[in-house]
Amino acid sequence: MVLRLNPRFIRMDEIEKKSDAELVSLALKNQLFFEHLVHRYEKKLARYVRRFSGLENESIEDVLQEAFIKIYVNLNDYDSSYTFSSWAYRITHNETINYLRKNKKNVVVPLETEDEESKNLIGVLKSEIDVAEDVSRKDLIERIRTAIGLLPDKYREILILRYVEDMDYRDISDVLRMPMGTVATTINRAKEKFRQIAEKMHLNA
Amino acid sequence: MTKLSSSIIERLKNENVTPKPRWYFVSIKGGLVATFIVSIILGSLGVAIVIRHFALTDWEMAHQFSGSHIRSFFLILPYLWLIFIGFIILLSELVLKHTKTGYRVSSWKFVTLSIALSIFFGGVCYLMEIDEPIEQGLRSNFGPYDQWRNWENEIFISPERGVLAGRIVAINSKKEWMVIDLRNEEWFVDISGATMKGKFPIRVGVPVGLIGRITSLNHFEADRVGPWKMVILGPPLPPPPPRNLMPRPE
Repeated sequence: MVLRLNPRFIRMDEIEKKSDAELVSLALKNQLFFEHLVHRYEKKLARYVRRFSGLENESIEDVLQEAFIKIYVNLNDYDSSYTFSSWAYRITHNETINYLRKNKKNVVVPLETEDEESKNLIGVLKSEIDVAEDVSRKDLIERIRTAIGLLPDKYREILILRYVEDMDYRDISDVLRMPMGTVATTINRAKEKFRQIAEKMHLNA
Repeated sequence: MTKLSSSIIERLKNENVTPKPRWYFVSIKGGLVATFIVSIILGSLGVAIVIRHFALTDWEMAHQFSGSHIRSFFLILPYLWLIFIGFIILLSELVLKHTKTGYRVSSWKFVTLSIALSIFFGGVCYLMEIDEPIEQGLRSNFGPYDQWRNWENEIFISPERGVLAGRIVAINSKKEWMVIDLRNEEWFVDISGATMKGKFPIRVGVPVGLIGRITSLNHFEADRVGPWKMVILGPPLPPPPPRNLMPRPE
């Protein structure tokens, strides 16, 4: 029994098959299992923090350290009626905001135009405007990226969660702690705000 | 494992970090649920007191005093209790937002539901008369509250505007009573031309609400006499003076 609770005695592929909820209950019995949860989510969360905040790698690591420590300390509060992912995103999201406030850092344009998920958001926003003919594709993407950077935080973060992290409304509602109706309204407002910025930037035909 | 996951595990070990126990979260949840229930109960009691306030108000007298139904309504509104109910609704919303899934309910839905629930449970409390001892207790034990309630009744002691609320202290004849008002002033009331509103016992000690006019110093001619219900909530009036000490009408 003791052996079964030690990750060293369980095959790696067996651990990988375990659900998040199972790993949480194992981590509560043996700290070493938490390492697997961290491993499962660190890349995803690091990407999210970068896209959302534009922080450098070193700062992202600091944010994630704090976020994962918080996740571990509050493991008993995890409720399996949520997805572990939205719970982890919420804690990371709050930790990022705390970090930005504490260090008085300004958010810089976060999107890497070459990564696939970001292309999705750029595509969605591109379809929101009637692109002027004289704008080249490369220039257009760069200007959309700048426009995203000019969006207020609450709009940028919701667009990233929806179109880059590809979350559904329920998960976004859990991450940002707002009703699903408000999620839909905020996404529409974010697009509207984007259209206004695009107009000012003469992106519209 | 990665550098980050290893360093986190190392930090957990070095700093001896352990997960907060389950009972900690259960007790927070319990506290939130208890606060929520208490706020619903307090809100319902507040609503019951407001309903009783409206039910006991003599609207004819209020209209006589203010000259219009709308003004009467705003004069009679128990603002302190309405502020209290508003505060309770805000408090319960705050509590709800701190529960695990409370944020999923939008604020306007929650406020609408709270008002509906408060009116329903407030109505039940009113019908079961649960609010009366609470109101009575507040008036007896909390001076400022009693003063505020008396101040609210002040508009009903405005004989110069045709309204007078008090208690019968003597029935001098079929045409004249002696009434002591809520400020403990004595009045000789001519009821010869008055109509009676509803059925109520006419005897010494009964609270009455009068509509009419001042005819001379401490003399009031009533056009309408009705039962005065609001005083029931207040502290008892001083007993009437002995009959031989009562001033005689001129």
